[in-house]
Amino acid sequence: MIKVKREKIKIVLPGEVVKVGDIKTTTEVIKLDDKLVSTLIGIPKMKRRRGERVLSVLPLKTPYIPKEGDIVIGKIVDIGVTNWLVDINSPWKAILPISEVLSKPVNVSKIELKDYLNIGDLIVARVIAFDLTRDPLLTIKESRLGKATRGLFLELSSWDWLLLKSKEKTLLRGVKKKANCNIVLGANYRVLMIGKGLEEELKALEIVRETLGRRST
Amino acid sequence: MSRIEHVIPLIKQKTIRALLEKGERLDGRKPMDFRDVEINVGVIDSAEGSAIVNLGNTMVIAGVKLGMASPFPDSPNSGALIVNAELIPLASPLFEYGPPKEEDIEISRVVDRGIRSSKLIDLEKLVIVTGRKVWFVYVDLYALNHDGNLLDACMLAAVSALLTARKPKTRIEGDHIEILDEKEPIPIGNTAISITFAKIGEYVVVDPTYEEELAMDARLTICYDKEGRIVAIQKGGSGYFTSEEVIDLGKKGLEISRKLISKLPTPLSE
Amino acid sequence: MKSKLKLIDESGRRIDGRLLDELRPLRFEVGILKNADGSAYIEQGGNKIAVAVYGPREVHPRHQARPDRALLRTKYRMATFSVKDRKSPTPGRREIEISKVIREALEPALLLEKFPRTAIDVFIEVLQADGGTRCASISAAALALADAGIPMRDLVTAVAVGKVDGRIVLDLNHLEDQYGEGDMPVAMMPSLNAITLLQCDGTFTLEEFKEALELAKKGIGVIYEKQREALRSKYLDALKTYRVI
Repeated sequence: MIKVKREKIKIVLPGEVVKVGDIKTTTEVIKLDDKLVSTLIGIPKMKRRRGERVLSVLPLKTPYIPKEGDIVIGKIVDIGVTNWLVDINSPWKAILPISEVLSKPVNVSKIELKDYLNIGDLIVARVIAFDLTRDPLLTIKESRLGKATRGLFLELSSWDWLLLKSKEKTLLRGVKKKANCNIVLGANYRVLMIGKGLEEELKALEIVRETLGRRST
Repeated sequence: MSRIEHVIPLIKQKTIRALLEKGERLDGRKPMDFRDVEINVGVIDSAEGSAIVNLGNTMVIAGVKLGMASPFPDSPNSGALIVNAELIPLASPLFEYGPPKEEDIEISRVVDRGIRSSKLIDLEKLVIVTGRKVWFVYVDLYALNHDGNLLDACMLAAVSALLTARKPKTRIEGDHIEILDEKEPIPIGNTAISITFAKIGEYVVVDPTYEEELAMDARLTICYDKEGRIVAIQKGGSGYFTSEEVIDLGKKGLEISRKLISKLPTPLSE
Repeated sequence: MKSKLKLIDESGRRIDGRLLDELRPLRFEVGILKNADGSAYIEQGGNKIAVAVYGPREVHPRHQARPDRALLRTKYRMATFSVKDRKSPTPGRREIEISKVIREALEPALLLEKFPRTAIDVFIEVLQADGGTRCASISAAALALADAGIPMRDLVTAVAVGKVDGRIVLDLNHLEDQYGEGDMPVAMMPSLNAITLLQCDGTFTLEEFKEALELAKKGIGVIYEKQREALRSKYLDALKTYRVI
């Protein structure tokens, strides 16, 4: 996914003309007359999409914008009457309604939501709806989703995350084999390593650091 | 709505405690390891003394300003010390500008007490005309990045700025006080250092990070002077310490303070 | 006092030795504050200013949120020790006005419509002041916003020009600002040729105004390159810390 030779790296900055001409662009590039201008700090890329050339800028730093279908790692930060409020490291807090947690309908006056998920709990969830007019909506009603009862939790920069993501398969295999751990790469730049115990998880953390190719994470 | 960002993931709390059981911490330190301290003095030309302190990722700046004023009525033969700490929003997404909050004022007052009780500044030597004009020493502190233990960082910054501060000389002719361009060090009599511990479950660590502060039950700050005497104490947080613990920490703190004192700048007046 | 102080000597040098169209020494640093989403630091002459950006994030209080765009909030503050006589810690009217004009200088560059119902906060702390702090703050804030990954049409770059001993000069220092005949801060999105801040305090003829604006543009061009260099070098350095890219 990210394969750029170091000596050939070209970084563009906000306001910089990346190309001139009539080319399709993704949203981080704006058109001013025939100039194609980057709005972010990033690495310009030319892709082919359905036979057409598309110019994009791979951002070196960007807030997480939720997308339908994304698997995210969320933190319960507040409890409402019929839902939980979840911090998913995005500009908007996400909503987890009770109907996306429990399989059967319940009488909310008879249960305590905090008995299911409490403030500070981490969940692995899927974004089921989001547009700019409404807060992201989450579900944990699928296999592999739900509350994390243990694990080592990491928050990465968007670029570190992108790097890990580009090596996801190798990473998953390595962590499973060498550390006997599962690893979840949340689309929201968060990582959860879950093993039998802390020892295994610390080993997994080492592998993550090696994959990033540097010591600090 | 509650201040949601204060929440530390529960499983991270578990990790912190599980590591402490093995005598380890998330950042690789042992429980009684202080983070690396870097002190730069004389960073602000417009201040009479200044220092930037980096304590791990915690960053604090201190500036000393002097002002001529009438002495307080109850101490006509003494200058005055005014310490003011501001946790400005550059330092943390949780901080806001506005009137000082409990946390800001607690830091100001503990730093003030440490400096005052140790007699770090000889306030009596800051009299210009007895009963009429004295120097007011303002120490203003700003948190620039908050990664835990702002109190010790503020103490280090305040003391470093004072040890290297200069005041203008004055000439008195009759009723007129002339402030000269020539400057001299402010009169220094001692030094002060604070050591903060955090109690997390049954474990105690020194110099907590922000995450450790979120996981801690109680906090204990002990200030020492250069003779190793205790000059100020402040217990914080909603948990408690046993009397055996506070005596033990008093001893451990002294050892740590001896190492830390060597990082302070040499006073200009020496 | 005002008439006595000579700010430009016979050889056309200014009080700090600069030529009329010469900038003060200038240095930017990006990403200095770990907790902020984006940050920058500027030293311009004797100015030392730190800027932190948080967001886009949830708006508190909630009723301030805008349904169609992010709310941009700026706070410009001066440390008590940033000036010769200790400043009161409470913000004055000057700081409040400057906060507003800085916000309006930055706003045209930001694609705020991408983050409706959120807030972007820009916090500016002047640690040492030496004239032209609002301009230096704007140049640094633009870097902090870019560092936070906020989409921008262009960077924003600012400089003050002014009239000193009857001559139009670039990048006023504190003395020139205080004893000169006029001060004109200008901010632009340089590659769009768009002026986003323009103020003036003092007397200028229309001719002088034109000359001053041209000089500001020239200075802005130089500062813009320094801003770009600071961003590029920070991000290239960050990339180089990886073994493999």
